[in-house]
Amino acid sequence: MRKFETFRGVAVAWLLPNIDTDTISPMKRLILNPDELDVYSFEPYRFVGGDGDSGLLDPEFPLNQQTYRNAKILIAGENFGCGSSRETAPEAIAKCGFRCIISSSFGGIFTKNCYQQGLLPLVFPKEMVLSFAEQSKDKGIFEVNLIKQCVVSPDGITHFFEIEESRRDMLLNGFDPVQRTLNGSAASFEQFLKRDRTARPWLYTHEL
Amino acid sequence: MGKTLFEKLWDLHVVCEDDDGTCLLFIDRIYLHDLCGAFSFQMLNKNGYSVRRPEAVIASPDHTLSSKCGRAGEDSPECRSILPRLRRGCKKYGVTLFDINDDRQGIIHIIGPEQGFSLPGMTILCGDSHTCTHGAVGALALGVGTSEVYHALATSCLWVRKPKTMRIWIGGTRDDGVEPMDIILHLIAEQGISRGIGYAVEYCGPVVEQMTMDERFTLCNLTIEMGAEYGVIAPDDTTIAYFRDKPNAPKGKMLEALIAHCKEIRSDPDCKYDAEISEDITGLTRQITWGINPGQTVSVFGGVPSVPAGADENEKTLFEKAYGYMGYGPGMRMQDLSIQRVFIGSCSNGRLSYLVKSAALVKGKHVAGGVEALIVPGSMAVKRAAEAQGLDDIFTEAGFQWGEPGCSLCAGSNGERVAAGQHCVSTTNRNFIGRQGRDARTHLASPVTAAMAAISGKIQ
Repeated sequence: MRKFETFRGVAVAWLLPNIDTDTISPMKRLILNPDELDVYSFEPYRFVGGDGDSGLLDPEFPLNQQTYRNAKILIAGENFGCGSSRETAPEAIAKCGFRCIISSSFGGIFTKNCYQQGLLPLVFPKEMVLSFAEQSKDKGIFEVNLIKQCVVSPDGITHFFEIEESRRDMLLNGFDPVQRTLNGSAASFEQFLKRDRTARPWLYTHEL
Repeated sequence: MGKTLFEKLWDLHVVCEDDDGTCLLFIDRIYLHDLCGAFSFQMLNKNGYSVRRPEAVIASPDHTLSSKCGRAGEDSPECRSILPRLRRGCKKYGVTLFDINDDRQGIIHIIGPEQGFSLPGMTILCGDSHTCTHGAVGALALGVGTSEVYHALATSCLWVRKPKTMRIWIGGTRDDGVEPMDIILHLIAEQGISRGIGYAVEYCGPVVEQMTMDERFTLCNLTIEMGAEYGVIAPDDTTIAYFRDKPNAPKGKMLEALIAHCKEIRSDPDCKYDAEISEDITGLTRQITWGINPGQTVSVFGGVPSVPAGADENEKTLFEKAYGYMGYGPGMRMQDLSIQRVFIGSCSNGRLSYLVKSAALVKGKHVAGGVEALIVPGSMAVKRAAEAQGLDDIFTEAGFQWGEPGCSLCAGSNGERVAAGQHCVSTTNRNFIGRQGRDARTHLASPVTAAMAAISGKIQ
């Protein structure tokens, strides 16, 4: 996984609420066009008539606009990423060049998947999200600093955020947590198994 | 202070705790469907890990399978791309696969409980957001993305943050024809599709206690559509009667021990929930979605709502998007709408008792002209049981197509789609834009409402 570094960049705001992961990463595309997740991301909104096969980009859709071509932050509406657990949703967003998504709330599974894809999901109060969106209009430069755990908005104000240490480390180091789990908790795992075989024997006598 | 059912399930599985409170949970069962299986095996291959406890993993293709009679597993580009990868991975890593034509094949959320793999007190993980379905047996069931499936396969564990708890009490009188689908759609509409974010829901109350297991699965299945990742129901006599004879349920003394365990995993009288909702369903009518998310639900006797007063610019835009996509405006009565497609099936409503109910409604009648109706049993076992009762004949004589088990028209991942502009009454769980095909207009509803719609060509 790509390491998360402090960055400065412009943001693009698209504030429709309840954008689901079917919209972010349409099913047909994730199976048949796995190398073009970014191209077909947000297909119902990105293309005229919602038809990716037409190839006609809808100029109204903010992510298609030249002004925001290099945006690294996506400012999204509430409950962004609700629905299906498909990890191609944050993968597609990362592939579009984004490193961070800011919203007043995210779908729960989507949030977890963002970390896996090296994407930082940040929750701020709705008024703050709207203020960020306003400031993004003039190509204002935001800074996202994961080490100091803050966002500096274009108006110069620093906004701190909370993040679990384990998630922060995972993003900063870009490591695969499997090795850490296998190494770091080997003893606890063995103890658990020993205890659990006594407590819930039926689970182990009828294995598949 | 006492503990909630969910907290008990959690505590039973904590292997260790990180400094920041994140817990490493032991995962009792891992379920793979074709998509999450193919993708997570790919990650195992890439990173060179094996499956830590293959005996705790089962796989069944469902998403990319055709539901057509005589399917071969090469019926769509989606299936040709995915199914061989699932098969290769299962073989390589020693995972039990219920392949096409296996008597145990079916939608993963149907076969888990049906085969006795999903049992009270377990942690169950699958790369699918509707894994919450298994919570109905009193299990902590979590839907995750590909990377976390891979992590769980390689380690038998997963790092998880403990959610807050929410109690949803459901009481009152359930009128004839009102199904769990109506109850949960109504709840989602009332509470909103983001109300449950960060919560584990426990359903309780007299209406839940009186529900059959098939009905409880429907309730838990749609929990994610309210934003909550977990839905649980305390195991009771109904649960025990359900699982005790299942093929993979423990036998003899072990069965008795599990039954004793069931009595322990229930919320203590003095436990505290972080949120509580009480729902009296007296007078509730059958429900149907009118828009582009499961919260956009009205009574079948109702109409398409106007943009709510006080909606901001973005909420207004979303409503307009819904009107445009569905091809009507506010005030349109649901009963005035003509429909072209009906689909009965899916992990929400593809179980035997629903097929029995639907058959009773269509017996001796015929699907309306201009309507194409498809009924797909949720598993091979459901299909065989239905056929043993002659339900397939009732459906086909009424003009329904009778399909092979799988996700079919729910997932848009197997070449089966609703044509652009068509209105489909569907017993599935998602009516998002494009879910059933480009410009397909989905109306989520119960099997009762769907069966009636097939016969009349209208929403009734």
